[in-house]
Parts: sequence; C-alpha cells; structure tokens
Amino acid sequence: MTITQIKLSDALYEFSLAQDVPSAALLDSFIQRYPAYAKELTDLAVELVIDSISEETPSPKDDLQSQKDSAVNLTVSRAMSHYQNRLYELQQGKEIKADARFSNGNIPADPFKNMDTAAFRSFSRAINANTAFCMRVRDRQINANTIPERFFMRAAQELRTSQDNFVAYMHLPTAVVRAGQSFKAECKPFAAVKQTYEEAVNASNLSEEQKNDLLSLIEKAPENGQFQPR
Amino acid sequence: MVAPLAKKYINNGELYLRRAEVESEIDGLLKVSVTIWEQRAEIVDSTLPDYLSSECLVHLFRASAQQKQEQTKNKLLICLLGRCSRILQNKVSDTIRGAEDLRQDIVNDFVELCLTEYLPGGALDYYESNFNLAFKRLRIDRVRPTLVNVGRETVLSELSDFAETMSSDDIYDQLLKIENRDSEQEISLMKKRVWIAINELPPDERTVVALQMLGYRIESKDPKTPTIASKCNVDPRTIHNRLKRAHAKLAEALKEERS
Repeated sequence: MTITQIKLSDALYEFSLAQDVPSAALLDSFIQRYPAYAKELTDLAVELVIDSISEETPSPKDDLQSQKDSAVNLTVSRAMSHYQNRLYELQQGKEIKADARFSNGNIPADPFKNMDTAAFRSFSRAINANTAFCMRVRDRQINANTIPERFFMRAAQELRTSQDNFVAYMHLPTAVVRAGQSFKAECKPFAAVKQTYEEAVNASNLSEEQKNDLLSLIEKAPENGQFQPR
Repeated sequence: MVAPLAKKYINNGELYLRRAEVESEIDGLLKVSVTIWEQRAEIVDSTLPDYLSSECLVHLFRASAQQKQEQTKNKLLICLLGRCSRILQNKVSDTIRGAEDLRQDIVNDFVELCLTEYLPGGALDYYESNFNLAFKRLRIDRVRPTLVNVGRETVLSELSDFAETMSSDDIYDQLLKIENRDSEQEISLMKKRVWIAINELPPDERTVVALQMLGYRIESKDPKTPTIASKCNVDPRTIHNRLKRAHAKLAEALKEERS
C-alpha cells in the first residue's frame, strides 16, 4: 500500500486504539510504518499521554449536576438539528463533492470571515507558517489541486471548519479584494494566476524549519510519478 | 450472530474486532425487539445491569440506520449523542475558551460520522471496537489547538494544600508516582491540577514533558535511538533547559495557592 493510499485519519485511529495510553515504543513502531505521518502521530501521542493524566473518574452527584444535564440536553438537541439538516442536504444531493463542487450552486463558507488580525496571526502560527503564506491561502492564490491533504486537514482543524468546506473554499477563484480591505492602485485589481503549493511555500519568506515542515506534508508521488489531485 | 467489523488494520490487513462481551451483548439484543433496544439505550447509569455499552449502542444505531428504521435510529442517536456530550462535560474543561462551542463542534463531528461513515467498513467500526479510545481521538483533534487558552486563573483557584509538600525537585516524581496517593478523590484532584498546569506550559516545554512521560530519554549514545532531543531536533542541553523550566513552572503552579 503506498502512502497516498493510507489515509491519515485511519493511521491516527489505529494509533489511538492500539493502547489505552501510548508509549515511546508504540509511537516509534507507528512512525516506522508511516514515516510520512511522523509529526501527526507524535502530536497525537503527546496529547493522548497528557490527556491520560486526567482520566475520567465517576463524579458524585453535585449541585452542578442539573446544570450539566441541561447543557447535555442542549448539545444533543443542537446536534440532532445539525443531523437532520445534514441528512436533508445529503438526501437532496447537495453535498459538496471533490471536483464538482460548485455545479449545484452551493458556495462554501468563508472560514476567514470575521477573523481579525490577531486571530489571523494566531492561525498562521498554529499551522507553522507566516502571515504572507496565510494570505496566499486566504486569498486562494494557491492551486487547490496541488495542496496536500495533510495541509487541508491541518488548516481546516485550526480554522474550525470541515475539511470538505475548506477544500471547496480553496477551489473558488482567487480573491481579488476582500470585504473590509482597501487598496490603492491606478488600475482595477485583477486575479493573479494561481501558484502551486510548493511555489507558495518557497515564495513566502518562511523560515527553513517552516518550509521543511510545510513541504513535508506533500504526499510522496506513487511509482507512476503522477500526483493525485483531490 | 453479529457480522464482524469490516475495517482492517492498515498494518497487517486483519479485521478490527469487538470485545467478546460486546459481541455477546449485541447477539443478545438482536434477538429482542427494537422497543427493548430503545428502552435500554435510555439508561445512563452504567452500574445498572441493563446499561448498554457504547460500542453496542453504536452497532444498534448502525443496524437501524441500514434497515431504515427511522424512529429507532433517531432515538438511539439521541442516546448516543447524550453519551458523547456527557463525556465532553467532564473532559472539555470549562476553563478552555469557548468550551461550550467546542463541545458542540465535537458532537457535530461525531454526527458527521453517523451520517457518512455508518456503513460496514466506515469509521464507526472504530467506535464499535473501542468507543472511548476512538472518541478520544476525535475530541483531541478539536481540543488540541485551543489548549493554549486554558486560563491561568483557574489553575490558581483550583490549587490547595497539596502544593505545600511540593518542591521543584519532586514535582515530576509526584506526577509519575501519583497512583501511590491514598484516596481516589485525592488522586483525581491531583491529576486534574497537574493536567491543567501542564496544559499551561509553552508548547515546547509541554511537548518535552509529554515525550518524557511517553518514556523517551533526553539523549542517547546510540544515534539510531529516538530521544526527546532527536524528536525535537534540538541539542540535548536545550531539552534539559526546557525540562528544568517546565518542572519549575509546574512546581510553582502547584505552590501558588499557598502564597
């Protein structure tokens, strides 16, 4: 099985289910098996081992119990509503799918909407990039077909949006001017030709460590040498 | 007899398995009416004999979804989401900014799995194999980016006389020997404090503490042996310094209530 065929999600689930609390030996064996996912596996192991400190213990009924119960009911009620809405969408065939994303008129939500400067900087730090690179992402200056799945996954997680939505968003045409932004030019702004992911990484003045990290997310090409676009 | 799971290990192609007790629990329930499923699914006290394991509940939900038993499916899903939500009430601390939204997002992530991954071989197979571990992975995916926001104030307010016995030298020993404490409540409280304090550390210090907890050594004479230094790609002295700073902060955090 080539690395492109192994889904990161499956590798992470397999790791999570292997032991109640991971160990160095387990992590090393998984990294040996899936070297392309070394960072993601290590990040997960770090979180799992810290999480294990505070394992759930049965808490006695307390004054807060009724408050907790109502919070649970509210969450469930909202989740069921979400379920029904999504089920309706799926049944109507409205789900956004890979390359036929916009043929049915669905426009993906803008995950950068309402993001202020501080939040944008925080996002760029979280994905181990700088604001220059993130602006290329935000303005969709990068060809979505060249963006590795693991970058989509990382960024979508930090943007608190679904991966499908983020993929769909990145397939939209390049943004020329975003709401709330001003520009000064003698001619009307135009959309630049989209760069490849690799070009964007190399052209964004990132540190060597950041470059290496972001480039390491690129799936290794299978033996026929062809990149698998999403 | 219940059909085996269809999800395979990437490593060796073997099928994921349910625990034996879950298999027999499902077998028993497949012989009774869905009304019994619904009644038993509503039991939330895990000490009662008719309580359904979460793995079993996932299976029954999938079975009713595949058989288009809409009413049963929805009732079981409500019970399942209730369990997810109760876990999150305990595991996603209110001290995390936006904790309520975060819990909702995680439950909604699970809803997505219930919509798109319920068929045999889908991701819900992981939840029939071990619900708590699979759900932990889902939760961590969402919670990890926000952990840096754990509030300092909470740490201070939750500390108590445990800190009186702490020195910077024995903080890590306390962390590792935590199971030796006397009462269950004391252990639980102590663990929570340590957990909050670790989550407050800067990312580089938090990572080295976690790597040490995983069992990695700081450095090794054998260059092929993975160490904390090699994993972080820095000099072992840097790791020593980070650990020293981290331990000092943990000790300090556990002492602050005293002052």
